Amino acid sequence: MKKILAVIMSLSMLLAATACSNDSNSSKSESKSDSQNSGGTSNTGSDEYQLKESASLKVWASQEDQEIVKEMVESFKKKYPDTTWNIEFGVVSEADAKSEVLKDTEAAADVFAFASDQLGELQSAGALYKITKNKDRIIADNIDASINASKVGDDLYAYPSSSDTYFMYYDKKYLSDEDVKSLETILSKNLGGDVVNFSFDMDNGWYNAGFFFAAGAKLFGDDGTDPTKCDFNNEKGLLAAKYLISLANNSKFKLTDDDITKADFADRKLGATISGSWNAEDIKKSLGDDFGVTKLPTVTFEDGTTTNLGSMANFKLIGINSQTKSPMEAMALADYLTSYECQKIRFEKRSFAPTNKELAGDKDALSSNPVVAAAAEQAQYATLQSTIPQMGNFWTPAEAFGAAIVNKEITVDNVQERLDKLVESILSTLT
Amino acid sequence: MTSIDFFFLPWYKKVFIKLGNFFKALGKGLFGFILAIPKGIWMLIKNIGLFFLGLGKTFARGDFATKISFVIMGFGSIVRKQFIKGLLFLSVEIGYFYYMVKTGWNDMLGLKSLGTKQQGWAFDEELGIEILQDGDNSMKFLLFGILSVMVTIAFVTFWRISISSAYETQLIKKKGGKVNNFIDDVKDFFDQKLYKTLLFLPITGVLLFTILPLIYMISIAFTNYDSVHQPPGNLFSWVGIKNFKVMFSSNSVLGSTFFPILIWTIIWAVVATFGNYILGMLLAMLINKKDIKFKAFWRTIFVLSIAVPQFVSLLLMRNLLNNDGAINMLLLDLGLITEKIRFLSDPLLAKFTIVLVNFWVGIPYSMLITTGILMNIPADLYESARIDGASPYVMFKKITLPYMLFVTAPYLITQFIGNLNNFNIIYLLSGGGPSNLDYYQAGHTDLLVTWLYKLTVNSKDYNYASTIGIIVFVLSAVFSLITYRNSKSYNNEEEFQ
Repeated sequence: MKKILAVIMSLSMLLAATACSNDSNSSKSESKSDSQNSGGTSNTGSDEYQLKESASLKVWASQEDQEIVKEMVESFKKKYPDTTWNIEFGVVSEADAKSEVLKDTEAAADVFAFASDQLGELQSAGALYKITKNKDRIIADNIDASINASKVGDDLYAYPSSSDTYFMYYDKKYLSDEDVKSLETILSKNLGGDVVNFSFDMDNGWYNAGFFFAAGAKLFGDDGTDPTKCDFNNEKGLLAAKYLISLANNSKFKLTDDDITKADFADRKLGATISGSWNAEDIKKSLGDDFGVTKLPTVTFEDGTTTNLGSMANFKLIGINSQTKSPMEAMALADYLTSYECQKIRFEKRSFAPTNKELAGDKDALSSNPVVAAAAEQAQYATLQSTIPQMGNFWTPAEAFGAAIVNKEITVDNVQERLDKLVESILSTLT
Repeated sequence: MTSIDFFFLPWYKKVFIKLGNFFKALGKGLFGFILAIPKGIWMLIKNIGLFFLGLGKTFARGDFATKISFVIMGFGSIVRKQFIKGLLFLSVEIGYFYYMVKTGWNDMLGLKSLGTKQQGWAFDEELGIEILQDGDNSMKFLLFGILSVMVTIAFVTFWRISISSAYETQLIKKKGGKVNNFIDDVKDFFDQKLYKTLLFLPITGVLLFTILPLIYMISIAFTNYDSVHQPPGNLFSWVGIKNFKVMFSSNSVLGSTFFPILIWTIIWAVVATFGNYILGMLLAMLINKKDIKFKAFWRTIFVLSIAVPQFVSLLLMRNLLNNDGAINMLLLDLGLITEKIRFLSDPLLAKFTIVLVNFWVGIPYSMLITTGILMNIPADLYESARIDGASPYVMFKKITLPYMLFVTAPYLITQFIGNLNNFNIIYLLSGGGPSNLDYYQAGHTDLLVTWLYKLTVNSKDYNYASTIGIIVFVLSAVFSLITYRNSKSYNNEEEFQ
């Protein structure tokens, strides 16, 4: 019986091979014999990538990453010298990847970097290639949270490359290491003149959700995958919203964004702020020896509970375009771009926190970089940003909610009603 | 009522009568517009009927060769020794049938379902990975379906031309006249029919690059091409006028966003258009006054803001008016205010700010235009008015304004439509913000057109964006037609010449 099965299988393979066009035929059979030599036995094939003789790929990465990605691709070419590579580069940031890819999937890059919150929408639009090659190894190599952010159901759709969250930067001239442990202490200080004690981007869902998470409210259910659940309007959410309202009314607080933050630190007019690794270099330059970075502070809510501020954790992923002409080659490249070596380069040159278990477990190396160390410390309070498509509905209402608090349209009197509206908008479907 | 009676009425009654007249005209215009629709449809049916009638007559009167031309295009021409012309017709037919067999017929069938096969995955034994199985791409089905319909219409046109050409040559032969050979025909296209030669390229361009995409975009409004039906992974299909129903129903999220935005859009367009117009006119009149010196200097000063590209000045304004922008900082430093003025982040204030900035951008243009017209008003009109003892206000009301409105009514209409769709100023100045929790994907200052943009770019709801696009088009078309038809510039062309 087994023999018959084997015969049928080899026949079908033969059929598949002859069905292909002539030029790819030769290369495929070659690579097949290669894999047989290297001892591929299971039906998932060997770990080796069976590459064509030549392949053209387009790679998208953000402007800041262009240089290191080019460097990585050069070493990738050296790793697979048997294939003639023709690799093009394009500048598309992780944040814009979704809209660029969905504009015209066929014209988009074969391999592109994107932020994990876009995974759901990209996958449901059929723009991502399912990753089955070396799936188990990728899952084993990277930390669980990053794998969860790359999965839809049980299928893997992206390669994790780095983790991303926000933490606190502070100016040691104004605040001591002790002060920054609690937000209340930060706000109670009198820093004099027009120096603002604390700032953060309140009209941005990515940041203001941290207060809700700290209070214990949940977005899209316990595991962040239920599009019909959001309890930001329960008593816990109410605590968080009231905290935000009192913060907005505090004259020592200021609404900010990346540009304002950088300018404020440059003018030395800011005590502490919430931001991420992307601003590390600029802030370090402005503050010099007074540069301080740590996890987010604790907050004490109205009912007396004190918890550490939560944050939304995000992962930078590398995905493969479903319309690619060379999936195998694209997978080899994406796999390499997220390997130990490349994550190390990212960590060293760009202060990106790695997702590779081996690298992330290397405490000595990590603590040498205070920014990554702060991110790692904050990670225990972080909530993984949901990857379901409904997440696309979260940002605008959350932004509006934050803006309304800053504008003092939301007060303690109408906050419950506005919270209900926020949840309704987040969970709304169009028809 | 005679004009004398009207003159002696109290002012408030005059206002009522004027308002009444306006609405009467509006109602009449709307009524006429709606009446014109069945008339247009009737004309279309009539033309189609005439087309077939003409065909039938030709068939009945045509000889053998002409009749064969109904099936084999160009046959009539070839028989009458117009070989090249006949072969060209024949090749059009062959080309069309080749296209139809190859893809066209399937494309046209696909237009009905917009694809049925969903993208999937299949395990590839050899490579050891799952390989993508391409599904149908609804977007392409729609596009190529429309293309095949357009090609078919073009073919029918050619077919008709070939038949009438065959019939014409038949008649010429019968009379014993000379049948044009190919060179004569080509010469004709550079002589008598030069307009056809010249128009060929632009018309093909417009058809391919304007009409085809337009039909495609309009069609999307009748599908469910939204964020959950995105190709290539998903299929979308026809839903009829459901999107319009959703948009107009007040209990859907979209409806409750649509109406407030529509109202703000109209308020904005009215205020921006007439504000710019009136203020620009006042400024021009001020400069134009007899006792003002250095007229050219003042004009140059005010026109200078045109020299800066609009988007640059808008982005600059955005920075200046920021919560931490230069204006707030300056006012704080001077001690004039104690709290920052939230120019662009307070919902109501943001609207005023935008209107004001728009004045700054737009007034120079209307000043320039009105200056030119002011200088054209015959001075003797003013002189005789002054002798009759008219006050400056009366002169403005009776001479300047009517003259101005007469000349600039079309300009006002285009300005109004332009402001309805004023994407630049909103997008660059406030970005539609501050965001509004009660709206779907929109902020307090979003116009319909910027909301449309956000729907396509942020939330990928292409069908609703297209629906809004159609509604905006209908609105602006109806408005401009009615006002233009009722304006003096259209009705009384001779009056001021």
